[in-house]
Amino acid sequence: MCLGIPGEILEIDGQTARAEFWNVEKAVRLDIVGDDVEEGDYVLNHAGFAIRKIPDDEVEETMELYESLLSGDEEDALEEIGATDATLEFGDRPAAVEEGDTPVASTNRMPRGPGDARTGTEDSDPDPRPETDE
Amino acid sequence: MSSDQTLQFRNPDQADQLAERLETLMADIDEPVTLMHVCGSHEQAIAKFGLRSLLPDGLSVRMGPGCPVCVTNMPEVDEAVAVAEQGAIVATYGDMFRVPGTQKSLADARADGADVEVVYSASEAVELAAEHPDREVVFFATGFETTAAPTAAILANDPPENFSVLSAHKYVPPAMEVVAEMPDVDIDGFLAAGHAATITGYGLFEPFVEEFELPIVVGGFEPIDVLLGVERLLEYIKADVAGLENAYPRCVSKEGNEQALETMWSVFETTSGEWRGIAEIPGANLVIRDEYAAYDTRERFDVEPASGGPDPLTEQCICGDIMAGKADPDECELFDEECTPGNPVGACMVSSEGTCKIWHEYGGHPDF
Repeated sequence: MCLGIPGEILEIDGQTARAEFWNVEKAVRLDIVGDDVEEGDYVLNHAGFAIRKIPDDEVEETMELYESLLSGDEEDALEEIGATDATLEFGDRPAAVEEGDTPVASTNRMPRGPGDARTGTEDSDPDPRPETDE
Repeated sequence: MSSDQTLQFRNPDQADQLAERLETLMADIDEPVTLMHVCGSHEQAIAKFGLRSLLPDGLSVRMGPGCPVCVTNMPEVDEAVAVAEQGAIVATYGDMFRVPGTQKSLADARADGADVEVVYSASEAVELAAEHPDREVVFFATGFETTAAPTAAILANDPPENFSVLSAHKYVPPAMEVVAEMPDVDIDGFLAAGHAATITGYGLFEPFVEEFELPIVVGGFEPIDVLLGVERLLEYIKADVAGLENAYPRCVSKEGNEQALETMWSVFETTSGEWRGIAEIPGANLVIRDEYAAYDTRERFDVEPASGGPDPLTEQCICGDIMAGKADPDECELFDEECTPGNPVGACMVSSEGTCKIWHEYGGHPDF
């Protein structure tokens, strides 16, 4: 699947890091993460490479979202991180994350077109003009 | 964030509200609408959660060329089989292992004695080369931008001399243009895949929106995300405006991952290439630049594709029509008959991102 999988960076050695995915540890490459990454950061990983650093204020939401998304599909997730003989353990995140500030939720996004469904499903704008020049 | 909020991604009430909204929008639009998504993970969410049952009459959501394994052309598999049979160790992603070539899959080649290894990342393929310094190790590299950038990073980082890459990487935007222009495919809007856009950025779609005057919404993968993306597209269609919107800001920015893009374009360039069953698409195949020719399997080996005709069943396979959004899997005579995940005829039945495999697992039109 083309879903990336979020994991926590445990240890960095040059362009290689050890990352933890729900209690499964795997090596990930940092060559193309496109951001400064430190131990304790969370990154989105695909095919053994970190492709995005997850902003601190989005970590908790992201992890919960993935746990919800992957629940029942653990095999897919394990295939994605290349650890098909391991077992994911959900809901055991480091205290630092669980005690973190309330993350900015899904309202943090680009200017929208008409009838913004995430702020309510009613079309509150009677004369919608989609923005084409974002 | 509390768990209550997390549940909003699966909230049935919100799904019902969105479904009602879709109903209203379709009544306003008052003509059939076909939307296309280009991602196996979207199709998984749609099929697994039966989202098509929530769509009003006249609204169709189809999967386009969103499965990289599926669009890998048979001669590309033949090339990988050829180098394996010439004695190289061929490493590839698990999804590619059983995809049929003209005469053999890599799984068949391994059964016949060739060395074929399944890896989960490009870096594992390089490790394989380091472990076998006396052997040629070929990484049969497939996938869109999310795997092309990692392959590029490996090549840009001085891999061992016995390592090379057989690139079957694909670049999605030109394929969307070809599908949008197909005379017998009438697409009213695209739901673009969130994770590919993590690399490319959604700004990439701006020229497409302008040229084809079609709306594009970048969407996430939870059921509500998908419904929301569909709702956003219908809003644009109702207003008769082409627009570009990021409905997946958690992961996607306008610029994308610039380091990954820079690495990808330093190693790869685009060329015209055949997408299995769809068309010869200008600029949609990624090949290795001259600067990295020393690591290009096609420079290092004689990789003429296999001769001879394909399995006769392949002639009946409609994978191409399915990936172009012209047909659904259950319109194929082979679907779940001669063609099953255990014995696939077409690539769409092999990959977990293939439309046929997904429909086999979950059904496409759930009957509640």
